[in-house]
Amino acid sequence: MSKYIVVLLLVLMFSMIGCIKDAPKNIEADILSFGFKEKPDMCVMPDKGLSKIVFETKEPGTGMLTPDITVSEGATIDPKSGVPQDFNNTVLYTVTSENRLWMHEYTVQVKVVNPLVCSFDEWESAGAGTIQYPVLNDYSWSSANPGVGTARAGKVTDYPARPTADAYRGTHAALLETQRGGRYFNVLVPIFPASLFRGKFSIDLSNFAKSVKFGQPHSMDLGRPVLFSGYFKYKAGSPFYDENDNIVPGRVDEGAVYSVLFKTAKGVAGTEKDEFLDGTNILTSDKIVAIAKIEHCTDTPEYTHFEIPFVYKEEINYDLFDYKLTVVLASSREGDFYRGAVGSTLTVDEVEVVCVDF
Amino acid sequence: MKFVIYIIVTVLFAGQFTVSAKNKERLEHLIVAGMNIGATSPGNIPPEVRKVTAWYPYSSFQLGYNIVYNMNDRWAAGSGITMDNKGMGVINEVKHLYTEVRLEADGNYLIGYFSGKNKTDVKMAYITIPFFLRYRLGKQWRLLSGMYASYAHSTSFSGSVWDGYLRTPDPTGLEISIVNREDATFDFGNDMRNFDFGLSIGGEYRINSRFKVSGIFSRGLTSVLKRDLKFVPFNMYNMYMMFGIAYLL
Repeated sequence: MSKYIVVLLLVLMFSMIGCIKDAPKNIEADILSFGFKEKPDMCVMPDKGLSKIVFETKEPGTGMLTPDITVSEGATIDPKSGVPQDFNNTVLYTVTSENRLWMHEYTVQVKVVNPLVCSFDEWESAGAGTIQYPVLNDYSWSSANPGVGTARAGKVTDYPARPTADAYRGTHAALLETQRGGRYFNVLVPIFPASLFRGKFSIDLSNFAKSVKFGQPHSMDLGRPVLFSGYFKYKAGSPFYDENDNIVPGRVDEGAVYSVLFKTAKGVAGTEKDEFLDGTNILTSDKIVAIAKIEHCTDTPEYTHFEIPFVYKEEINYDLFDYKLTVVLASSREGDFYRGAVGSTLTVDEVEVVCVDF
Repeated sequence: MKFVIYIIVTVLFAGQFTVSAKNKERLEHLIVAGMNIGATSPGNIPPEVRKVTAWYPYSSFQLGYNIVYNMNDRWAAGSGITMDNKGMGVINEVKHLYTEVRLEADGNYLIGYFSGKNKTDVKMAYITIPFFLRYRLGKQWRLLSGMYASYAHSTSFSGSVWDGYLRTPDPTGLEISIVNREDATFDFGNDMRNFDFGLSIGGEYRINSRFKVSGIFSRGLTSVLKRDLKFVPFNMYNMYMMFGIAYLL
């Protein structure tokens, strides 16, 4: 009899341990990568949460293309990958998660533009749910706005990077304003520096400076960058905070306006091995090939023209490397390291990177 | 709470008021002490939990008083009052678990679907009233079965998530990677129920005229979490095995 009781107790013990079920059906409905069979060099991995994919090309007449799309595990996409579409018009794609409960709509377009000019005229709203932040209509540009929106749980009146009607030309210019921060994600962020840059942004909680990924592919047909030009105004704010949240009396903030051309390994663009520069190395990396930089972006009350030649450290060689080009506009020069003055504003309009054919 | 007080009073004074002098010989008064080892977990492991990497018990002692009335040679009925602590910790890997996490130090909350590693610590301190029938199987062995009602005077349900990412506010939203173990935590201690009610079954072995050892499995039938708590999308039940000794007064 006693044996039965011991067995019974053991069975009861083990009955507490349930069994691991089969994996639930995936709830994600993302486009992981979007490319074209006809144009292997045009491929992007869209940021999670964004719903627009815009390709830019200098060649007119690239309309009918065959997309090569990968989506989240188990998800389906309509229209299907591999079905040619006319991408000169916006094509609407709907991704449905494996469990069929979540849908994510994307618009995809191939724009024939000169990608190296930005008038900052067209802005729109992006994000999900209550977190809505301004983005440039030209998706080769990004800002830290999604990070600020997430840190403040969407309770933001004016994002650090936003449009202003005070334009040099056209309807809008880009306004960048350094704002007071706080403690976010267990990190002391004394200030939210404002920046707008050609590249991508995705929050890296372990190292904020690495949240920014500078650079967009610069193919050979775009030419050799020679001149970086545009219009800017600057007003230094106060007080100036250092990275430890201490006020630095008398320190005057400066903005940052520069363009950097850098090299990457061949064929990595749009893949897992993609290479970018970030806040820690944008001006110091040994991948840098050329820089055009306003040396001192100090108080400048009226729109002022700038035209700066690229200074090359080495020659471009497309046989050995691929290249990326970024333009960085920031209201606090040392903002990547959380040093800057609250209220510093940089206004920029009509930026252009002038290139000459090889 | 009134119910609990009523039961305590009934149990403590049952002997004095209702049992005649002759019947007193049939009463046993016992001091019971033991350890609860088990888990507070969903009845079935939900599909969002992909892997349980670690489980550890917390020091969950039980100490109480039982009174048992022998109805005849075979059958007895008992009740009592017990300080009853239950607790455990678990580390698991989850996929797309709907939850709310607090970003440490700034106090902001993020809601969304988390995939990655999760550590949950559950601790509850109950006052428990058991009711049980006891059946004598032989000279040494007794079988026990019954139910219990518990009132929790202290609860905690907390933990952290790391090594993964959160899609906020829904699966089509931003993807936020949460790397370090200290970055994001949760605490649903205030969202726990005060009451637990459940069933128990077990056995005891008589060592000598004074001492008995026992093993009793108890299974809660009410979720330890309030029903309107959205951020743990499943019910959690107490499932604990009590290993103890009883001393006959």
